[in-house]
Amino acid sequence: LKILVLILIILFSVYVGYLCSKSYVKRRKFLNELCGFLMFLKSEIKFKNNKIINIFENYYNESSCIFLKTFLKNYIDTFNLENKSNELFKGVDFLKNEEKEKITNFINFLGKKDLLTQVEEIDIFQQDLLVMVKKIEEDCKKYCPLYLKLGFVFGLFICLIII
Amino acid sequence: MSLNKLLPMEIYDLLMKNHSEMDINEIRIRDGKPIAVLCNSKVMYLSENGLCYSINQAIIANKDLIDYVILRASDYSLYSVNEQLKKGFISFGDGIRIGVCGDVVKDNEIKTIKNYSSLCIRVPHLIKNVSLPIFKHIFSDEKINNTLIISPPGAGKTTMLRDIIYQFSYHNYPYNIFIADERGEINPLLKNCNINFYDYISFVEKKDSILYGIRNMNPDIIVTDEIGGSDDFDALFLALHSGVNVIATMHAFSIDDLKQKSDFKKMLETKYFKRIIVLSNKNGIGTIEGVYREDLTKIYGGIVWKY
Repeated sequence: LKILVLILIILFSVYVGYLCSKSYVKRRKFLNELCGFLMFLKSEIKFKNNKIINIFENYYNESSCIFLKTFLKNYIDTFNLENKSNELFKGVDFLKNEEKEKITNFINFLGKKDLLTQVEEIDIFQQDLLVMVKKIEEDCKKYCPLYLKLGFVFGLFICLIII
Repeated sequence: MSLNKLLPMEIYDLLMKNHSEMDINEIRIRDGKPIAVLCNSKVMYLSENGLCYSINQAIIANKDLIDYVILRASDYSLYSVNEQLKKGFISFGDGIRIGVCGDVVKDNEIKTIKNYSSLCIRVPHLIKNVSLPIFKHIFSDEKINNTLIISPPGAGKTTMLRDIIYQFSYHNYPYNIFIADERGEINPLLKNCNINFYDYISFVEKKDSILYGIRNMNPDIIVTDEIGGSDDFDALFLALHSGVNVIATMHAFSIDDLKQKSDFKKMLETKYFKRIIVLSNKNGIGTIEGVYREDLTKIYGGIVWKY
């Protein structure tokens, strides 16, 4: 029974480590899905001249993205609000404040420029986003195994104390 | 109507305090100036108590309001209306036309307008049967007369044109009507009128859309608004040679004014338009001053319809 309890403690602490690493994975997937959406956004604006709200709705209905969907839904629901920055990230709590700020800045100016400037702004944000994605991928490689290992070591440490 | 989607709620509520959207003809918003409203053909001002005649009580518009209206008009997608902005207007909702003034960005051709300084929001109306007094002059004995409606701006040309289209459908005359709607003003209000025989093309220059209509849609009648310039007249001659009838409008104050227009001389010489209808604001919007034959003799006049 004692061995079973010790194993359970180790498994639990590894699970906590896994949960910590998962937020990195969610962030990476969200930002990757946002990259895909930006490509769609750019082509819809550039070649189809579609309106912002229609682009968001089409992507929300047709794409198979998982992590970005809540964000898109929040944008659609708050489309007519003047200040929507607080509502945009409801249910998207895994992003860092710095990332939220950059996305909000981009969203706030979306649709307020002429075609050339709008496409340029998307390009610039895409480059920013690629830097963010690169960083999060490095972080993922670095921290995901680390959190798992830390969880295991911490569980082992508790077990040693109990023994 | 869609004024409530275009204006800030507080402005819209003040506007509607003692009036309905049917009363509003035009709203003028200028940076740092009173908001002026043409209501039932009378100039009024928007105040904290609704519309009034005193300019001293008027609410002063600012740049934020102008920017807000433009963003709303474009559905927060300014880039999508840039082609219209280049021509100085934005179409919104049920055919509302917003004239825009500001700094033009030009590089060989007009790129866009920025630093907006004033807006002229023109509210369209669909008034059924306003064209009845003149309809028999346009269509009689199964024959459609090429017709030109002339008036100064804001005298009800487009409203008259809409009702003429409606009358064809209402009386079950199965003519295929093609609307060359350059500014997207004619068609939107017709959508809910159960009109069966009309096609339209919007936001394309008239010369192109008329050519498009003749080639592709085989229309019996082409309807177009605010013709002017030799390109438009050339396209109308093409329609004539293709056996298509034309009902059009044009800015002119009177028959004499029409005669002065050098571009139009050929149209008069060839007696292109078999009927010319003159409207004015004399006794309210849409006063029918007269209906003229191709030889410019008056055959009808004097009836007034009002909002």
